[in-house]
Amino acid sequence: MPVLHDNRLTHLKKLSTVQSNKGVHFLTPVAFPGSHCPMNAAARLAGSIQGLSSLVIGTQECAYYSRLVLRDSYGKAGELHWMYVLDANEVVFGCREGLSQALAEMDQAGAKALLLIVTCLPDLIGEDMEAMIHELQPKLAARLISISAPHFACNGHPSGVWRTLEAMAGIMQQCTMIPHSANLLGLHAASASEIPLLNSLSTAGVKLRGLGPDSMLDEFLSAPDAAMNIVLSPYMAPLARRMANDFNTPFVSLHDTYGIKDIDTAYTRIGELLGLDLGDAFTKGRNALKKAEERADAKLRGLSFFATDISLDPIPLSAYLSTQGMKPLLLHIEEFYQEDRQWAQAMQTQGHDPLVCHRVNNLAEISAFKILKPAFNLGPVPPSLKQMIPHVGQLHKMNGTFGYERTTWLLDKILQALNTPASDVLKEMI
Amino acid sequence: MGLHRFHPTPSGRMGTLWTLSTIRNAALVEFGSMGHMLYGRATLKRMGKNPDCKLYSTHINESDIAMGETKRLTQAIADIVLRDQPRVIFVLPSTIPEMIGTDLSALCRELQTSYPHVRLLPFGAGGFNVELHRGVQETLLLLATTLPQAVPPTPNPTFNLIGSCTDLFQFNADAQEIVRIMEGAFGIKPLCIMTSDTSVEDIEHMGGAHINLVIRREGLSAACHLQQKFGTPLVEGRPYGMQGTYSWLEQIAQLLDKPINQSFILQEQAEAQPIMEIAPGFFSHQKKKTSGIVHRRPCRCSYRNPYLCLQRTRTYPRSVLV
Repeated sequence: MPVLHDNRLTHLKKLSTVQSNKGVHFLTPVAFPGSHCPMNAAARLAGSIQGLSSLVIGTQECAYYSRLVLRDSYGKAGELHWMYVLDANEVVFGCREGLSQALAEMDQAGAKALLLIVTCLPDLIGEDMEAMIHELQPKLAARLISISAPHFACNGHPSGVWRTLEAMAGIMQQCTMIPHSANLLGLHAASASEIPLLNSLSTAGVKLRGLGPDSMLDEFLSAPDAAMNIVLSPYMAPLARRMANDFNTPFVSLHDTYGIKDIDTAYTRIGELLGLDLGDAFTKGRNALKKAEERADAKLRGLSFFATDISLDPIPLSAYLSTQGMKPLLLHIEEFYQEDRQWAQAMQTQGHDPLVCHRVNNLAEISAFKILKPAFNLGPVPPSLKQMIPHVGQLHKMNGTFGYERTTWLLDKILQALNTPASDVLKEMI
Repeated sequence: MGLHRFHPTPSGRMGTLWTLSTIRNAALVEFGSMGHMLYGRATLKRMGKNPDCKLYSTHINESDIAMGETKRLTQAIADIVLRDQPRVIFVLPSTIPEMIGTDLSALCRELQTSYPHVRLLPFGAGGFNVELHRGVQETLLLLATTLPQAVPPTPNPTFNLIGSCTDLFQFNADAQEIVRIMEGAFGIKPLCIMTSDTSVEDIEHMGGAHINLVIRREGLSAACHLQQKFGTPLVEGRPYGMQGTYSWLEQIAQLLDKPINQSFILQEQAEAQPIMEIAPGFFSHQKKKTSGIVHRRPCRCSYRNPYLCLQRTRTYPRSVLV
């Protein structure tokens, strides 16, 4: 049964022609169920940063449904999570007056820092939040930041996260820099002890501060005192860029480096910025990755693949796998980041220019698999194709980890999936 | 509407979505951001209902808004018709199409000719001054005016339950209880439980019922329309308490010209009696203190729970209570 446009994939663009989220089209025509909006992600993040209050500004839908994420109006540390609903009059004439009163009320109620989450409708009518903040800030004790979170400007939810984190730089204060200190942007606390780089830095006396969704507001505010930022998540890259611009805090990205040379370069740069000689602390991990690449070489060369996992930025990952001889055919893009362009170019130099799409209905995408016939999939495949296409799931486990160990883990997983006979896959399913 | 600390009143659009989402053999497509539909699904699950209607969203981007483009909706309907072949596709506007004035009714009329076997039904209640209750009301009325077909009354008496929708607290339990009471008191079965447990076919045949039971005022306009079209009498109200329920049954008995099964009533009374005796005690804290000297409170006799001996409450002067 035809489910795609003309039963072909002509509606999708090649990666080389895509410059932003706008170029990423749906794989199938209608969302079932689709992706969450940026407001969801921003509200979730606001609820997890202790000390940060929030105000969701929008229609009744946005306000009512934000309570699915921010269940309590009052946080444990006195945060306020309230909503501002535009009425029919404000939709036409703007909500500036009402919103000013609401902000004054929240200020009186004790909000320390207040994130204004501007959803689709106020964004569409062009309510100028930055101007309002500029006007109101001198009169209020609460520090105000705002993010634009319209779903019509993107497909997925990540912009809600990275915009919120980037906006946090707006309330950070210039501090005296502490030498031998670093912020770990996007660190998952659970995985911190297993990462050799972090162990080495701690041993060398570097003061490390993890900044992530579970951090406190004060930790964010004092972040500019670090000598450098180490970026471990694509969500944190815009914050690192802004801190480099506003506070001259240099940064090194590790979230998008998979190859040995790239990791070598990043580690060397970290050593330089912190004035450390990290020596041969990573030889073991490096050698393990080298061996994994040698093992994988024969199996991966010429292996075509889709990347359908929604938890990863697939472009740098596919760029690395291209260097191992794999052929990317189709990539699911949840968010197109600025840095992705360089990885897209790297992939092109390898002779690959995959199609890009946004998956919105996993039951309807069988046709895409049948048309392009990938030999492997990074992420889930439609239920009826599970026995036929080797695939690696649960790639979200790679988030927060980095370096040689992450790439080794990935290659091992791919080899494991390729070596698993169909009967074993069936047993797993049962 | 302004600042809210707690849940605001849901919009008419949400009322429409929640009301339609339980209708089987139908699909619903919302023209707007897909985030809305994801939240709608999550909310329905929390209400205790997995959507029986297939819920789709077209999504919308800046170009669609700027150009008034509706190609996404056209493609979505084509895809849904091919994949699911539903009897009816409900088409709803999201906030942005409502804001920019997308004419879904005209679009559906235009597309209808391409899909003669699938009914395309556009819904309104999209305005920014419309709240949940009007959304539910308009939806029930539109369903009642468009889907029911001219059918003869069923050979055995049947009833429609109008207004049992997912936004009501414990809608499933209430609907089941009313069905149980109707079966016990009159031995009649439901034809259509509109809309929490129904299908497109049930709504099409609801003209065959002998009586419409309207359990919320939002369903009254739909029931009035059915009365005009099919001559089906209606009873408005919800059965609360023994006396209230009996009065409600008496109204139904009068319209159906059918006696109430008294043995069922006696059995229900006997079962409810122990609970009815202790029930007032659980609400005694809500009794308002009036000026005067006589106030009542449970006595402190040998019962561990003072409310158990509520029948023997004593009177105290106000000074004792303070």
